[in-house]
Amino acid sequence: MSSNNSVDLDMTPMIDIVFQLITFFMVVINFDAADADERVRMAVSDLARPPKVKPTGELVLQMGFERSTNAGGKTSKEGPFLFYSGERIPAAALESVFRPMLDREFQVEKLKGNLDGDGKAKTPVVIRADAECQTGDVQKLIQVCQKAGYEKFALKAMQPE
Amino acid sequence: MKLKKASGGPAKIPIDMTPMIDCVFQLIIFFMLTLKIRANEGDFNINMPLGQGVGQSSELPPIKVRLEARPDGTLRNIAIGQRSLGDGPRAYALLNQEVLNLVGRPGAAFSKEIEVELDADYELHYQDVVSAMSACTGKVDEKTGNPVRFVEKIKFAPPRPKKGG
Repeated sequence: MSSNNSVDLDMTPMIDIVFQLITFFMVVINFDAADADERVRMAVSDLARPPKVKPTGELVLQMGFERSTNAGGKTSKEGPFLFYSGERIPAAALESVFRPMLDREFQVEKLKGNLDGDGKAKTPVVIRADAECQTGDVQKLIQVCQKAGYEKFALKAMQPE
Repeated sequence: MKLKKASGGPAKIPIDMTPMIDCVFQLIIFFMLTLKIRANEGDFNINMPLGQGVGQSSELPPIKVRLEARPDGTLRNIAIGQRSLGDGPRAYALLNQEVLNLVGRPGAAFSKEIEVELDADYELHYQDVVSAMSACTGKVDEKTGNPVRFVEKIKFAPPRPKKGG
């Protein structure tokens, strides 16, 4: 058998398909969802629509549960917790643990000059709360933010699938 | 390196596609692993300055919606003003209709001044508050699928104390 007998494979169709696949994934991928915490099962609303103009900066706070399923398939949940910068803060400790962190966040806003005429932060606080959270806990979170100097809030909900 | 020209026709320079195909497959694998298909999220904007009392942010008195909870956190009753609307999906539909009756016509300049105040029990599941907020804010047009807003301003009454706690 001669060594010169090489078979030329036409790679063009495969490259076409592969590039189409890459284009599809690039269009579909949503990097915004990267900060969406899996532990938060959002409330559903028909009227929840993404904002037309996305704010330049926002403070995202996620409140949810640690759910686990045992061998029998029974799901148990622990919480609610505020998941913030890698920490798990119990809802009962918002004032004592989360407030100092939020105060530091507000100081950063102040240094950036990101305050309005009343000395309140211009940055909106985006609250992603679990559908099973108690409303009082979400309200307590809003109150802590108000005391720290935030007064614009966006409550996130998910569109029905 | 010398390129030999074949005597019979134009020279064919082979291009090594292997590195490009390697990169392209790595890109595909990256996108496949990072892709998460999930429903879009939307916002309900609320503006709550500290110490804001009832009726301070607008000249008109707010529409008060009371949401009562059972001990397990599910919805027991919705009341708008003095009128009780019950619970379940029908109550949200009634709430939606009541707010529309008060606003008159969606999109009117008058509707931008109207504010809804939600007064929920501590234990109530957040899903019910979002559903009530949704019912107060507007509805989805059945023909176009676009949202029709009745009310732009939503706020919360001060949190109620936890029952038995």
